[in-house]
Amino acid sequence: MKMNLLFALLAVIPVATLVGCSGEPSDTGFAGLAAQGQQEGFRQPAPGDLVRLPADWGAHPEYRIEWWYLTANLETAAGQPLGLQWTQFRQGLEPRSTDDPAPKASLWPLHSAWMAHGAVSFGGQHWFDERFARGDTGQAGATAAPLQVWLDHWQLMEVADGQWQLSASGDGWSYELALVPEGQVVRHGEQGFSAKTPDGQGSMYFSLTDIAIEGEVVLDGQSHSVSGLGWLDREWSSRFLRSDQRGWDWFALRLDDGSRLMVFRVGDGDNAYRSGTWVDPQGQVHSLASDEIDLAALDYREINQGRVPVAWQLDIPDRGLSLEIRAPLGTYWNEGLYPYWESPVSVSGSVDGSGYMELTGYGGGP
Amino acid sequence: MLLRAILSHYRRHPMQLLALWAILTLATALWSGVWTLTDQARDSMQVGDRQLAGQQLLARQDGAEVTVEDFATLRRQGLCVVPWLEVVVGSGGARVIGVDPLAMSCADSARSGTAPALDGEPFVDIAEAAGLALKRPSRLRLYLARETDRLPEGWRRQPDPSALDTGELADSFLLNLNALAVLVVLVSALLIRSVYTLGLAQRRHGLQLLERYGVQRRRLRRYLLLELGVLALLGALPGHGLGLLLAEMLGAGFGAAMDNLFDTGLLQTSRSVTGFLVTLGVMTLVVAWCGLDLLKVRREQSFIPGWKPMAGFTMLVAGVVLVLVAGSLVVAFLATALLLAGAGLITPWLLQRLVLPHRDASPLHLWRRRELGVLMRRLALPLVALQLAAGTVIAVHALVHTFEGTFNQWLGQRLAGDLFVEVPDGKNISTVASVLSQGHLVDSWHPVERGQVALVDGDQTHILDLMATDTRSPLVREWSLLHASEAPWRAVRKGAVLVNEQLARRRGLAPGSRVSILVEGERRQVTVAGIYADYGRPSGEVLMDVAFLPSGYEPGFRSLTITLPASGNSRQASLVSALEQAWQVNGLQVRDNATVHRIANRIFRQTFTLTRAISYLTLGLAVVALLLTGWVVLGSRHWYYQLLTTWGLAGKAWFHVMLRLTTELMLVIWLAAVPTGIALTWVLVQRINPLAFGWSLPMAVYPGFWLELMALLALSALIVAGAFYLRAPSQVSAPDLATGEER
Repeated sequence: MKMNLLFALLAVIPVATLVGCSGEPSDTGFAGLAAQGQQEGFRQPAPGDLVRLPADWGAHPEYRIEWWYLTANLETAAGQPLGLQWTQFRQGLEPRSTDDPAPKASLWPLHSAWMAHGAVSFGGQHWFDERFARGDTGQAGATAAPLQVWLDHWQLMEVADGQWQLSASGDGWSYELALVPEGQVVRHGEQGFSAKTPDGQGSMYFSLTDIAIEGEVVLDGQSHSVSGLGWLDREWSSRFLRSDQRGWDWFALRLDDGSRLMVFRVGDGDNAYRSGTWVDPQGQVHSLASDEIDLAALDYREINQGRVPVAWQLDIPDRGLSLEIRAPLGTYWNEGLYPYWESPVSVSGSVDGSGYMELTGYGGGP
Repeated sequence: MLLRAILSHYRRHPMQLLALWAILTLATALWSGVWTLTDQARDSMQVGDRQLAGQQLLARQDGAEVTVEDFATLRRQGLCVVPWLEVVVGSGGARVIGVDPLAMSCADSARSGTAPALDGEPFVDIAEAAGLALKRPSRLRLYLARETDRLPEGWRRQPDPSALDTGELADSFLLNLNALAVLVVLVSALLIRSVYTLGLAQRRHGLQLLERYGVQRRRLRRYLLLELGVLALLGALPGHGLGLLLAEMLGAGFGAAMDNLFDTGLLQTSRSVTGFLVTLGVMTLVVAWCGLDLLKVRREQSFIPGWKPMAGFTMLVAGVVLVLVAGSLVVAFLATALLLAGAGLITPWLLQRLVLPHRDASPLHLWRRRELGVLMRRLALPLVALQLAAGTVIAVHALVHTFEGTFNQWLGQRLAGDLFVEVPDGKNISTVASVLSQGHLVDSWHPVERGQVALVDGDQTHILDLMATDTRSPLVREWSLLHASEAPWRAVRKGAVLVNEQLARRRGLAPGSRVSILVEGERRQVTVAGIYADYGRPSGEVLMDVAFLPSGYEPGFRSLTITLPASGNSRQASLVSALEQAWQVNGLQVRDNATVHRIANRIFRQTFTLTRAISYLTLGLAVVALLLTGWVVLGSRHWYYQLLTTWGLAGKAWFHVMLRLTTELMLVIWLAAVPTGIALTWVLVQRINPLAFGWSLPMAVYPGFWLELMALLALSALIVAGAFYLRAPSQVSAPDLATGEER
């Protein structure tokens, strides 16, 4: 459910462009901006649309928004947990068919804007940076085969068949990681079309839930050898939020029985829209409807930015799942143009596990 | 009714009204044009400084223009590089700057600063600028926001303009132009006042008549002041418009000069009303000076007879002392103003004495000289205005010509040799040694390596340009040095250095001085063997022999200067091909020095276009004003001149007398202008130039130009006399003769 955040973030890029990246977030919040974005001429995903690989690893200029979103639960050689995030977003400002040639780089076209987020969580501390670029100049982009997604020197590159490299760096942190995608591609919703509202707006959404990761993470000059598993989301759309949908909660969980669970909730209270995907231990993919999911905050943490729910009770009775999800101690606040919470989590209850949690619409942020 | 009566003067003398209006308009145009340009240039510099604070300009080592692909490559290597696309949009050379706010976000995190508003004044989104650049001249630059970033192979940092005090130099350049504009206003003020005062004298009878009819004197004054105000406004409005047009016309050359000299283009900045208000304010002051006479209750004689020459002499002395001790440009300009004001006050008094007739002169000579004395009293103000304008033209002409000559000679020395070959990045000169030693391809050659050194001054270091060359080369030894110790080149071969004039002036260096420099981290105490002229370069520079560069020194730029054999032009292609083969490169950067010379001369001409234009326009204004005033004054004494016919001087003989009279008048103005011009030339080349730019010029005078100026003034005299001759003879009546009053 990173899409909600991403839609919102991408939607504000043109605003940021106009004010030289120094603008304050709009009062209407992420969701409002995402919903009000200019959609004329852009394609809209619909039930029946299919995920086509490997082409869909590349950019979709005919859609307005898309992203490549990696989170990873890693361990250092000393066995300490280390969470890591790398995300790249594209927002189309002018639609273009995939078959049409890209505009000339020498014209510095503003047909699309790109944004990348990088974060590392370790020992209760959190490092975060973001970068921006306009598309079609070579500064940022994405290709499907070989897989290359880059913005400046932050890049995910396919270096050999089934082997990727990820590198990024920011103020006080950097990582150089080798990634080996394992397991199947999980198509969410209906063959990859993932509804986000009751009236059927949605996105194309698939994930790699098990990516073996090894490499080096440098934090404040100290190098750590790390290894673990990552989760990569790939999602694109042109519009799927209603303007009244403010805030969302998203969980990607890797459970010790071998099952994988993705759950999101848009909005709050009775109007909240819930959805998810459960990959059972045998690898069967099951879509979860809104009424199959019970999600409630258990505990909150006061941070400088406000009050954030850091512990959750997630029940999916039909699948026999009763999980308590808890963020580690610390403040995992991505203080970017549009701030949000992104933290590793531990899972206990009917089955243990780990994963990642993204929360927006909390704190002083939108 | 009263207003109509007051204004009836201009119905009778429309030329006078036209003259007043024309002078006001032209003076406003000149002032406003210069103000607009300098204001725009200052704004441009501030905008650039603000946005580029702490950023470094990047350049490819192969000298090629940077491209968007270069930008992407550098960004993908992790460098916080931001694009800066300047596009010339106005016919006046004004530019907009295309920036990429998205790319700038990394720069914002690297420094504190505010993002520019993309409103076209001068910033726009780079996509918009790139669209404009399709049909307009443009230049892409790449700036590095973080000093700590290591540059990849093939790239170098351009010297940081802010470290070279270009801002201060550019400011001096603009201050020079503003000073010239102030001079224009002063000259114009003298002209306006003279024409207006003349008109007022002619209206004396009419105004007195109105008073006798019961119109209060205070009311009359109010109307006259109102008339003056309206006139000022009528002149200032179109004048300001003309000034903007002038700025637009001269903007391209001026912008190019600013760019070439100080790396600061003229940007499209917002045009505030301040410029117009300042212009209006200045013109109001000028007109108010005319109006002062109206406010006086009655004309009072000066309390001390002959105070003007005394004051003039005092001002001259004070000006000379001040100009000699001036340590700043502002003081130098104040001193110059004192000198000019002193000259203006003392000149009429001096000339009066100059034209005193000999006792034993012929009656006609006696008459002419006395009449000349009368005219010089009546025309004192326009006469001084023309003297100052002509003096300025003489000085500016001398400055430009001296600089042109010196610059050409200097350029000739610097561009000695036929070819200039850039050494490709990563290649050694030793690789092509065998090619360079082939007599049929190369007559002589020397290498030039450019980089930077630091001058150590206590615990401070100052970055300087470094030029290292083989000082045994006869091409280098032909350089003439401004100051040198004995056998300077031999000393340089033994480890001494030469420094440019800018550095010598800033640091008070002279031949024999010892300085401490850091070359590639190696500290050395070296002796200054000589000082060389280095026009146009804002920064200090040190010249040393290549043999004394530390081993492993990486110059920013290397080149070869090559002289071809006598029939060398046909061998140029063979030489270039042999060099390319030896270095194993294609597309070697080769320039023939004659082309470089031409480009340098073009830049030179651009630099002085505005200065020349202002001084010649001022001279034109002063000549026209003198012609008009002279016409009116002579016209008022027409009846008196007609008396000459009663003495038997008719037809051509009368014309000759008039021609001699007007010619002598012009001649005395010329006589007053020449010393003024010479003095001003000295002040410009010896005092103001070193203070403004760090280098001086030799003092030279150009009598040929004085003669040209004299010819121009003689032509003016001929026009006035001729026009006068063609004018219908006026009737001389008995009452006129009885009163002796002129009309």
